[in-house]
Amino acid sequence: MIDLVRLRLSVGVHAEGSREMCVMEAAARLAGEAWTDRPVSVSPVLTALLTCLNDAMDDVQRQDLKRLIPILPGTRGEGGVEVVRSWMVLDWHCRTWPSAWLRAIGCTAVEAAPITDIESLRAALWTLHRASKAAAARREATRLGAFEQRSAGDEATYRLAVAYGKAQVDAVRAMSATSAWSAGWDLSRVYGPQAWDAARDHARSIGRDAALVCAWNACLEGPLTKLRSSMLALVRSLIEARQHVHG
Amino acid sequence: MSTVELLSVHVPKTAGTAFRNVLEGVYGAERIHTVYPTAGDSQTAELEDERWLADSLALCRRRGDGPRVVHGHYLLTWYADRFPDALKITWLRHPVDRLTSFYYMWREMDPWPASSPLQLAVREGRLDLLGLARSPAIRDQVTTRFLGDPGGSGLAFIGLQERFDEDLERLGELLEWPRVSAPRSNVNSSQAYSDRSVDGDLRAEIARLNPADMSLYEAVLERRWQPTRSGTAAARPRFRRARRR
Repeated sequence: MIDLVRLRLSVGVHAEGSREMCVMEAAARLAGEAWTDRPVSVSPVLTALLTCLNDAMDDVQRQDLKRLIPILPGTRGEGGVEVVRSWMVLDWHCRTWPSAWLRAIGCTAVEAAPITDIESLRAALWTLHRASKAAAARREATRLGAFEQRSAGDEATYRLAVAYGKAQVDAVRAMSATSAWSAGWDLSRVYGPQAWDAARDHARSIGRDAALVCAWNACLEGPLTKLRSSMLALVRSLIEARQHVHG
Repeated sequence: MSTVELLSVHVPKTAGTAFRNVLEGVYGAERIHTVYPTAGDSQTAELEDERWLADSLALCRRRGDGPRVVHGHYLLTWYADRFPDALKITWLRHPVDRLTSFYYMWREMDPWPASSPLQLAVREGRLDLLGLARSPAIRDQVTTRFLGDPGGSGLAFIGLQERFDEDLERLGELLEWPRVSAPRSNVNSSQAYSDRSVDGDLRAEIARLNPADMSLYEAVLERRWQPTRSGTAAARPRFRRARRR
């Protein structure tokens, strides 16, 4: 068995018998499987999503994933369940995730119908494109505003550039800790590679620009908190999808 | 456990290619994961960050015969986040000499499709050495863009290009490597670089533009810089397995 209270989740894969595990190694152990980070009893979509989050989150945030471990074994779905889950992850990445960033910078959320198939994905592309333009404009305004604040001389410009560079790093870290672009997308990608690529690029662009604005304005924590909570809800929805499909 | 045990940040123009040859001699070329931009990569800082992040995420899931060393031009924090137990090392060079060599490399190097506007400006002769040095993206590039820390904290070793052989020996002892030699490579062969003249005033101005890089370099030069002991202690026993192939 496994002591979830004392367990410490850490980044990457671990040697068999290690006291530290990643979230999926812990799920495999709980399920009584051989040591692996790809347990056969767990949905591959959930595995892809959670391993990516496990590795991108910082040590403190990562421990929040422990509460999911007991409900992961037995989630591997049959038939079309994993495809449904894949579309659910795609929908979250294209609507919920960028919308949280957009709202944080005062822009309109992605107003598209739920993405459940290739038609609804194509229908959402224009909205995503428009939202990415809005986020890019807000980011450019932030950049110009930041550099207009400088007084004459090299030093102020230099200090602003250093601060801006740090904001860029913070933004990428915030994006990665709340997302997993590769996870769960592969199955939905089969249905429309070009639309899939375009949707991913738009969503990432929105996140990249909006997170930078947030980092520069020192207000990253708001969207991060919302997205962490939303991610946990997404995982629970993915698990329930099995129950729904199985009736 | 991840296979990666050494993170080696190759600051451009600091004998990093010679050091890569050393690493290949110790660990075997197939166990070195290199991180360098390619012709198709965007040169913007944030897209570089995303690329390094994606690469480190994939790498930390490798098992068995995966890489033992990550070596290249990257911001240390992305790989340090993924490999907290790996030993972190780098090489420095006097910031004025490094930037001068870098400038002449860009002057001679054929531009890539995705070359940065700064690189193109140097290549096309629109930006001189001082102009490049004044660019915010270039100032204190080592501490802000590669190490992510003005004091080099978290690193277990910093060597200097100017005393490469001596410092390499010191590193070899630290990691209990077999004896290694390092022929020079990737030396700047530009005639303009050979003929360069960086006078005292220009040197002083470039040094002034890079206060954090100068400070760290001088601390290492004067042996005032202290390595991160915890990182060294954690990684050291694992290095005993390193053998020349």
